[in-house]
Amino acid sequence: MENFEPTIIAFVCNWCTYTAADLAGTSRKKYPENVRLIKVMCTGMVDPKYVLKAFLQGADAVLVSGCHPGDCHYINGNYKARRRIKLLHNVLGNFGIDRKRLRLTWIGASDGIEFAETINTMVREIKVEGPLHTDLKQVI
Amino acid sequence: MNSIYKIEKSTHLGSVRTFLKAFLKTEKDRSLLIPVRSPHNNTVMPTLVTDPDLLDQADPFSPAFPLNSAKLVSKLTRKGSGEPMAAFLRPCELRAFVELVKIKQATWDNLIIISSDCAGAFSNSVFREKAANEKEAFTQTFLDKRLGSNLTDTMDDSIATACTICTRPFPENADITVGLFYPGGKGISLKGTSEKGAKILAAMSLEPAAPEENEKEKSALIASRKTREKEVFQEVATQTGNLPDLANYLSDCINCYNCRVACPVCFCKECVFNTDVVDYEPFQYQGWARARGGLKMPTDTLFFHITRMIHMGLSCVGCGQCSNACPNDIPLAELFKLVGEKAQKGFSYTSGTDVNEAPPLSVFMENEFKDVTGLS
Repeated sequence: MENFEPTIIAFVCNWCTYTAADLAGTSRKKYPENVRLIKVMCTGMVDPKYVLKAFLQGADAVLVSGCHPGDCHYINGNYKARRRIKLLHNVLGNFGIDRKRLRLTWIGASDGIEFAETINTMVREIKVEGPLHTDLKQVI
Repeated sequence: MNSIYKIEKSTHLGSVRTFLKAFLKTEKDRSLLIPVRSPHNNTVMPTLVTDPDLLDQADPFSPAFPLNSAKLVSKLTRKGSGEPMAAFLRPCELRAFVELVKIKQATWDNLIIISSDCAGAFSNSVFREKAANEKEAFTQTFLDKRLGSNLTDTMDDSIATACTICTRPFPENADITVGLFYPGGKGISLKGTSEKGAKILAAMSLEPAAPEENEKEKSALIASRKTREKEVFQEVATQTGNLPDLANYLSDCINCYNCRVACPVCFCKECVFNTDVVDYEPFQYQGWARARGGLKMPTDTLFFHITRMIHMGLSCVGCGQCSNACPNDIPLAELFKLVGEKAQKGFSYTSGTDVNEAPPLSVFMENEFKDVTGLS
């Protein structure tokens, strides 16, 4: 358990959080390699199935991150995402996937430092939580 | 609008049939969708009736519940046919219908919904086994036992689990509400609970009745149902608290998707589980098997069930047809109702209550659910 390295899947929006991740890189801000970024055009297009599939395929945590309220490139995609994540919290919470494992954050394009800190915090927390045992034979 | 009428014959079925015949004669142009007994064997199936004489075989109180008729009413009203109709629905079927109206899969125009207090139902297999010989007489035996015990007699656990934990057995927004808890005798009470319904009843020259005084019995029943529901939910929660446990709970699942077909609020014409999304290439299975040393097949069982919870949980009306449809007797109804009610609570939403209330995922607000975001 001491050497547990969590896998975190992050769905980040093209306009804000992905740009922030880029900025973190160009600013030489280090963050753990546990995170796998998946660029989407908007958090509003993150189907709950994507999140669920990530967990069932072995992710220990999932991050969905996009523009601050009011800043969405598509006007209101992030509000829709917020309702979907709320629903996912309510459903997945029944099966041992608590809110620490599914995060929704707003990280703007200029927040490179905040992006690096978010990943740092999540990795630290999930290391404490331990692995989510889903890499069973039953589950795909 | 609040006038109450009564009809009293020697059996409950006699009373309701008298009413339905008079209804169809008054409303000449209407057809009526109602459970009707087959003249050949012991099946009770929803039937679209136009000839009042056929209502001698109508049996809306039988514990037979082969399918949730909300789907049928959706089929009949989805596109306006211009033909007026009526439907006799159980309270849970009515709730499912309300959900379907919200997502534009059905309309309430030109439609009168009649619904009655519900004494519960059997699963299909239990009904075939227990009610085979007595045919129609069984309905009265059933009602006598159930109504005589304020719905606590489960007839040796024959009542479907979904019905034993149903906390909404009284119709909430029908046009005409049929009361079975009519004090004494085998009569029914009739109440016009919408403007349309009240108008029709007023035109039918029925015998007026005094308001029923059964609120105490009703609230005692709901209280005991809630206690039972809590016990059942607690048991399900301990059996499904994490993903491996949930996989065990669903381990008999063969991905037949009968639960999805039977579900009245699973309405998609093309379910994602029938598409290329889960139509993997042969080499993919080999890869997964190699990576894990073995692969349970068919795959995607958890993916299917949890996705269904996400898709229909907010509309789940707790009718129990998922359990009824499962060929391997997986107790799905209590699991889906537990998860569904929790999801609904999160949005302060109750399924099947009000046709004008928007489904939670169809709307959003600027300032809401601030606690969902962030790292704390």
